[in-house]
Amino acid sequence: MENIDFEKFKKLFLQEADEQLEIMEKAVMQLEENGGEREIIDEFFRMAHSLKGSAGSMGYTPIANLTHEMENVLDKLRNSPGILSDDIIDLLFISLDTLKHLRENVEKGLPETENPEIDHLLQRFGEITSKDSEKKETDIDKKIYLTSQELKNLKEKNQEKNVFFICFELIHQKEMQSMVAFLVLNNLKDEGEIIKTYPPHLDEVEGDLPFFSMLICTEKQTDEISRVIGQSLENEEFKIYTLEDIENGKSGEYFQEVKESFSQRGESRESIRVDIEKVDQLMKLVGELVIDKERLLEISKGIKANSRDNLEAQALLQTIPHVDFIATELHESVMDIRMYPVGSIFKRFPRLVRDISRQTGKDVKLKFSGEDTELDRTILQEVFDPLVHLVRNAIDHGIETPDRREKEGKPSQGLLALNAWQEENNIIIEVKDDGAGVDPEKIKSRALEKGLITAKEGEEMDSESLLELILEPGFSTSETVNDLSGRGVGMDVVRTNIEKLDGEVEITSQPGEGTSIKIVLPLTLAIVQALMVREKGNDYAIPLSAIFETILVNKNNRREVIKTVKSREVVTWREQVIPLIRLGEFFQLGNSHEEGFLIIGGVKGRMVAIMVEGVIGEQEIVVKSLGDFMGKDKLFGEIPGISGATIKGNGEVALILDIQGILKSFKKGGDSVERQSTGC
Amino acid sequence: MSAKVLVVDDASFMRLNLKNILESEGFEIIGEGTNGQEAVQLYQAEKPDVVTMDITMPEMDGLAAMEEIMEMDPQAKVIMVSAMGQETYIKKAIMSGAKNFIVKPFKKEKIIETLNKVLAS
Repeated sequence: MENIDFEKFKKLFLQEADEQLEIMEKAVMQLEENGGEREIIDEFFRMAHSLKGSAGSMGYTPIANLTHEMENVLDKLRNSPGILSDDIIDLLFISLDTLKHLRENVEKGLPETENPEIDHLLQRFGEITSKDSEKKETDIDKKIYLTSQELKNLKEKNQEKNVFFICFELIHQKEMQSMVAFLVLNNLKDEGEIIKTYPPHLDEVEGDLPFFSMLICTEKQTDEISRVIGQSLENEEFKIYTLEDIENGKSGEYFQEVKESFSQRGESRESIRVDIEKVDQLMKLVGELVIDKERLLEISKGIKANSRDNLEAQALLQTIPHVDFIATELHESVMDIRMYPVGSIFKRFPRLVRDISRQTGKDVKLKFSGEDTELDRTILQEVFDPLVHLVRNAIDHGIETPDRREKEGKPSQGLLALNAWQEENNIIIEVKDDGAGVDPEKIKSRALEKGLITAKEGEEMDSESLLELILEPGFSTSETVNDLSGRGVGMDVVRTNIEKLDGEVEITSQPGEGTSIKIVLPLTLAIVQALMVREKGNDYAIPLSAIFETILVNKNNRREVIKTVKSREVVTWREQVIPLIRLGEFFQLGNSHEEGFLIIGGVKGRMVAIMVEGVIGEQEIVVKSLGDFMGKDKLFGEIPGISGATIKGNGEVALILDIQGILKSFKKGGDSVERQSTGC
Repeated sequence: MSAKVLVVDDASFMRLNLKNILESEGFEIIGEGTNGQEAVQLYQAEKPDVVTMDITMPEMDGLAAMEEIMEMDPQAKVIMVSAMGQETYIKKAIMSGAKNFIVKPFKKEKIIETLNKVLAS
């Protein structure tokens, strides 16, 4: 029993240590870049402190010792940021590497051995932190914390308006204290701008809240504010401080008193750790529930028609919409748990970029944007390796050496940006550099040389298609092969990995100006909204994200809507001429009918009109992969235009159309796909 | 002049309880509503100075009733009476203009204090 518990704790310890190390690493990078900013040091200190704590309680003495010394140095830095030196930064970097190493040993279950390196590190730390400085346990600030910049802004505001810091202590009211806070907050919002609150997001807190505070910027005077607060508080204490009081530390005293209680309560409700497998299992179950829900909705349609007088049936009909609602909410909640900010993988890059640029002699500045963009955690994990590859490539082959850059009239420091954003149902992650760019002509000659294309093909390809050749297996343009990248494997692996996630890789580049590589990913894979359509007795689901419009085609408008250009059928839609595909003919199920619906769909600007017999309606579908049956050398062979299957409300299976696949095969094979559909 | 109070609650025990407390302190109960719809009608007819409004009621709940009353009379003073755990409703009510709230079970002093506060505002 004890062993199991220990393993469980160890797993948790390792998980936490990973996060703590990551944050610490980011903090050192920031210290190196921006100097000793208080907030960074605080964060760093907290991480070292909690790692020390957990390592100590697990009995990992070397980790505890090392973090303890780091903590001391950080504490010193906190009090006198001026002492920050390259020496300390280096020492911190080495310590982090050592900690990582120690962590690995813990994971592998290796025994702790004498480690002279650690002793040496401890000694160096000791030299920095003078002997006489007594170590003191520093607890975490729980008060409203203002950076110097924020304080400066407040002072500016204070010249025209009043800035008040108001602390509340609820003594009489014991129930629903957070609602009292909410009421006060709501009333004060009418009087001015609430700048910050403690606890943060005061309006979302629920339950006990004996103390809270807020910073408000208002045109009103103290007595007026006091009166407004008095309206919603009965016999409760509150104190109003001016900006001068804050600066003089008066408010701090009051707040110090109450902060103890907070650290005892708060914390635990912020987050919990859950094994990702449990969430996946939950997600699977929710998927099944959604299928059953759709079935119930289907069944209820039948009941409605023929059971007006049956009370039990009526009760059932009232319950089913609620089940529908709950299942949808549940699904969204679980999805939300799975979502993770892209920033969580971005933050692993600063160190990587630092190391690669040192190895390659480049000077690179790394920038982020869109770290808050959220993506399904499973997808996010799979994206990390391809991203690492792209970043390596960008530094190794893209960004020039400082000398070269200066000669070209560019700033000697190269810029590498990791950007993320959402575009409709896709998340885009971009790796962008301002390096040498890629020359399509060079790619062409290289591809010819490697026999990837024929001379004739080369002539016909535009620069966009030439760039895509980089993603072909066995392609590499760099003349030097080195440790980092450029061994001709990689880019094709990047593409394969991304395509496994139903994603895509897009390259754009300007010679001399830089390269941008975009990874386009689906928001999530599991459950999507789809339009159900019918053709030749079969139902198909088309993801709503790929649909723009549906048009009814009957004998009156048929000739206006569908035209023939160069013996191919087209549709004019919003002044675009787009190709028409008759679904029945596409899947070789028989000749098409002349009336029905046109589904105008498209992916990334490429449009297609799909003619179907009937439209059934919108539905939530659970995507089931057909990967085990479809594809090269599989049972059904390759079937273009199908991305998976789903289970309908009545329990039957419907195929999910892959608009992108349809577009691709259309581009290759024209309006009929006889060449490909051998396996169906 | 004694303030006019409209008491809304679907439980007759709770109405009686509130009525006793308030009358003993000199408030005048000008109406008792047993659901949200009655509350809205009584408000319109009697124009009370303050309303105590239960949240969970049949027909129309207290939240909807309060919102309708606020629409009729933006100056209306409504105090929500709620059981523990109805945070979400209270928040919505506060945002829609409820002046304060009382948690059931309540003490006499708390009711009186809250009513006086709201009336004074």
